[in-house]
Amino acid sequence: MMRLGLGLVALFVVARTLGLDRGVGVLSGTVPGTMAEALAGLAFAALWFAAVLLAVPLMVAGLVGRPRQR
Amino acid sequence: MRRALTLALCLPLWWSLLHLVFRPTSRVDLVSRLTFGQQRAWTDESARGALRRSNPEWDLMHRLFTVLALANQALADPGARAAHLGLVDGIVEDTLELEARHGHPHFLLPYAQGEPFRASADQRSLFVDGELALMLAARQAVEPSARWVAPLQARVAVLERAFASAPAGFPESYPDEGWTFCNTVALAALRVADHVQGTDHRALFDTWLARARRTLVDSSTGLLVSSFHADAAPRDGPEGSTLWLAAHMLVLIDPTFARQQYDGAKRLLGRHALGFGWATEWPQSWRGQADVDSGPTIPLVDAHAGSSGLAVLGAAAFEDEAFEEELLTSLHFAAFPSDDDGARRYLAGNVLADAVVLYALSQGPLWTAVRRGARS
Repeated sequence: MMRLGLGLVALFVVARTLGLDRGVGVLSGTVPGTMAEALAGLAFAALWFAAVLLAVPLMVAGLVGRPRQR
Repeated sequence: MRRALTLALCLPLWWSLLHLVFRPTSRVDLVSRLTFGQQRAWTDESARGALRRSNPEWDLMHRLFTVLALANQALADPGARAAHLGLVDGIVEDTLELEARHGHPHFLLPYAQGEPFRASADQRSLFVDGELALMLAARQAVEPSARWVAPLQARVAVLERAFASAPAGFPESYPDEGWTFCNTVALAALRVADHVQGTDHRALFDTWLARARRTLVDSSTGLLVSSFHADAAPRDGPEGSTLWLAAHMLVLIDPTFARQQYDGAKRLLGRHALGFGWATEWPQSWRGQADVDSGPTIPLVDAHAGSSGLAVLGAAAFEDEAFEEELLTSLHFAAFPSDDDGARRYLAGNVLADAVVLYALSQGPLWTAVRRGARS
């Protein structure tokens, strides 16, 4: 779960760095430059919501579940 | 097992705290950033081009909301008045010039020229004339300029003819298609023009209100329908992206009726959970088709971008601070705020959506001045 949480954050950071947020205006009906930009925008939005809603709880659950050193 | 249980406990706890992360902190800072963003937008052809490609109406609406926001800010801050009025004059001049160069349908969707208007002998759209009139009247209400006296008088005369010639009293925005949004903007324009020019359209307002109560109010919800035929037969039901704006405009015409519309809209269209607020487009009792004006609805949460954005204006105008804060919290969570050298954009929207939020946060001084009859 820790890896999953970190992975979501990492994917979002990559998406942001690649500028996928340029097409996120499709959520309001604004016509994007290209279909690829629109799809990238939707993917960016999905990654954002996944990261915000799930990453922290996943990482906390992952920390709690780690086996203790004997 | 322990991890699954921890996750099951953490998820609702985290979700209940999330609104604290996205709640707006400084209203003044937000207005400043959005204003800078709009000032920049007027030199950003790509952003405005995207708006126009989506819908030419959005181009005119962007101009209107920007002018209204700046007019309010100019009234609130005399020190910034000259700068704000400079941009307002530039927007108004550019808009009138585009209409003159490309024709009245320049800000309309192509189907406006598919058939003739039923009632308008000069084939004019109330959407265009109302928004232009309100821009001119708002500018003049801040600080009258000889430059805009004749254009405002001419546009007011056009509106008077439109209301007089409409068979049911509700002028069209498209052939055989009238909109409550456009009618209420036009009424507000006349009211502000009365304030500026010393005229009185009270009889027109009273007639419109009486007719609207009889024919435009949906009996199942008590709310104004969004669009209607030239004979006032409804085309759609009550629509959020119309109602929030209409209620705000009607404050200048009949504050009690306006309040009823806002309260009804909030009851049937407003949503909130865990510190976040949003609005849907249609009440449960009337699910209409998606309208090209207002954009898509996000499934699962039934959140509509256009309705939610204009709900900020409604909440601000009716001093519903709790709902306004919830809506702004949602905006900062779901609309992807982006700051570029101090200029704020919400990437999930467009420059029109940004202008609507800016106007929502700036509104107040102009409507107060008109209602009190105070002149600067």
